[in-house]
Amino acid sequence: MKSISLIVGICILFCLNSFSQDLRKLGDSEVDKSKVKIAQDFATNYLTKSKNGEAYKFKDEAIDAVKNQFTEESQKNVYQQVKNQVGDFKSLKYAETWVQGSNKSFQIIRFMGDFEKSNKNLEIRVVLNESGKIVGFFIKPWSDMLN
Amino acid sequence: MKSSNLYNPFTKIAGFKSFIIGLTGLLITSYLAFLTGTHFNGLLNIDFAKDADYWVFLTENLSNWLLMSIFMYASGLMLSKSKIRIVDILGTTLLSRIPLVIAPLFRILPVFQSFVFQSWEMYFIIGFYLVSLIWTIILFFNAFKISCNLKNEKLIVSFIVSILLSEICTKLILKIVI
Repeated sequence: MKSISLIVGICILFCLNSFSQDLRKLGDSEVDKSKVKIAQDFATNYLTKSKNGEAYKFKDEAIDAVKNQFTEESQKNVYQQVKNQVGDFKSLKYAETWVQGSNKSFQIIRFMGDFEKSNKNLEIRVVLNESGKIVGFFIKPWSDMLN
Repeated sequence: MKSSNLYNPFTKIAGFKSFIIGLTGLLITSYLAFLTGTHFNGLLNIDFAKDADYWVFLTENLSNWLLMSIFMYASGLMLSKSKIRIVDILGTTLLSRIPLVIAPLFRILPVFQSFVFQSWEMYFIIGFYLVSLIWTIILFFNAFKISCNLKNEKLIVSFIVSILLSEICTKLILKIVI
């Protein structure tokens, strides 16, 4: 009876694990520092420009879909929404990197963002593809559960 | 050690002694919660985020304990014919929260520090939290029963109302303060 329970338990754990989208957190020695720098420079510049009422001008650091999505108008709207809730951007600090897929095709680089009116840090997430281009940029409440 | 002591230690420990032991437990739980980013924003809630200073985690734990005590004390004053000591309520409710240390204790392990949503790590931690929560609620119930000397319907209804009101008020207060 005990062994059946154990087998069922292990099967449940495998099933649960299969929901987790093949994501893996990188250890400090595995992290590609150059990619973290790309992400950090972008996020800092973007948020500093937004704070100063300017729009971030994309060059070749992001894919076209991102450039098209983050228009001058949308940048202002998004920052205004964030500012209304948590105040102006102050700073950000690197937290961790996750990779998706065995070949590390996407790197999810997470920063803790400090905002003026919030007692809690927010997540500033930059997603890079294989060639180091930005394919995603998000500002959301921090969670230790990657979603 | 008798197994009944695990869910009803209040026949042996009450008053100031339970207050001191419980307060030590609350401070340890809050510190571990801060270290591991385990938020108790209400009794029936747990959240995982290393996103705030120590005072935020301490406030979460203190507010829920104090509100729970206030509502239990008020229920006791209204419904019980016995003399109720506030130190008994404060002490026994503090002691009842000790099982909540289990989830932050597990989260010290590197594998539980950050994980993917719907992963086995998430279900494992939530599973242990649920066990500790049920244990805590049983302790709360026995603490309330002994401290206020209530029985039957009065006991059950006022206990449920106290839990629900403290949960709602904790959420409101935390929203304002944090």
